[in-house]
Amino acid sequence: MSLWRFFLVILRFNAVTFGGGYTIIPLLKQYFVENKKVLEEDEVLKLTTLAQSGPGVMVVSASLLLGYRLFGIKGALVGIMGAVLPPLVIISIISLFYQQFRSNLWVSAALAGIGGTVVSILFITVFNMAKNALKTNPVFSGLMMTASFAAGLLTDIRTSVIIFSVGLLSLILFSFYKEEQIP
Amino acid sequence: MILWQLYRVFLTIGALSFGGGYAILPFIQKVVVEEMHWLTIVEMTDVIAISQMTPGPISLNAASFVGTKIAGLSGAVVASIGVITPQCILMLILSRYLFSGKEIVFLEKMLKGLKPAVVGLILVSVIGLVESVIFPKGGFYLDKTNIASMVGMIVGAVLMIKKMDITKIIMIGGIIGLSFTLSL
Repeated sequence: MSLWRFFLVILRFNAVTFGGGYTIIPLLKQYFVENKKVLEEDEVLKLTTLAQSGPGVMVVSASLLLGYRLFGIKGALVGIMGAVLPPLVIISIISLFYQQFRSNLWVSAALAGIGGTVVSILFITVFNMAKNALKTNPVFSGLMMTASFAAGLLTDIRTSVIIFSVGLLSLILFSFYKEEQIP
Repeated sequence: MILWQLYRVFLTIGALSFGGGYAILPFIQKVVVEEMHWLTIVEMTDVIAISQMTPGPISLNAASFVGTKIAGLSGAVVASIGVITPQCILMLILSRYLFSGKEIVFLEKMLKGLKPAVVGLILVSVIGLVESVIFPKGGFYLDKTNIASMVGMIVGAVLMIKKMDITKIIMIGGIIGLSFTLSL
């Protein structure tokens, strides 16, 4: 597979996959492991696990790691570009139209209803995320969830400080104790 | 300079958003909306809706949207590069270890606490959103627009529980908005 072909594939997957990252992974796996046979399934699993546990945009990390594995540094850069370009182009165009039409009667009427549905979508998504996060180490997870909720709602502590402290605490705790030892 | 400011703000957001797409919401709300005043909370809701209807992850969509609004196309480019800079540096460093068979566990250990913490923070943002979506002018009142939002919210909740596709739910929200505002 050529570098150019790789770029086009990453670009295409990122341009047609809705709802962000997680839907792209099975597509990538199918293409690179089953169709092109340039990667082992276990390599894709390893790189997506790393991409998911890192900060930022999961698809960008996954495309970078794929590119690096196949073509080295060049591939990593091409992977990044392929993942970033579609949303950059699409949203920039939408954003320009948005500034023009937001005050239009029809558009603002539609967006009033949409705003309501977005709130519900978020609420239920957060609820599902919470259920998911509480599956392992429920006491510790519940404590972290409640503490950051309270800190975010009731205090002026910066979000960055909350994230940094929780990350550090969690790293220390899970380095000294085994996962099974933490309730 | 505005471009440098955009880059710096989105760099911080990119470095600290752990745990998937919605992890960026608390930062967008606290930093981009409340601190920098680059978006209104209503615009933030619109960005989330647009993100659900277009390909691409929320963080990149938000970066492009805010960037375009503040500084045009160059703003969108700068904010997008900013939001991915930290992860790209980190992944480039880690990629050498990953494919030579070493296990990388420190991120997963951090994520144990960060995952639930992020859920708590997102909930704070969503609670903030309810108020500004339902009563954008502040205080309690009823008019065509916010009745449409309330109906959208209720219908949205029901359809979400019934696991309808999110894109469709948003389109139904648009229809509700149009029919209420224009017919009442």
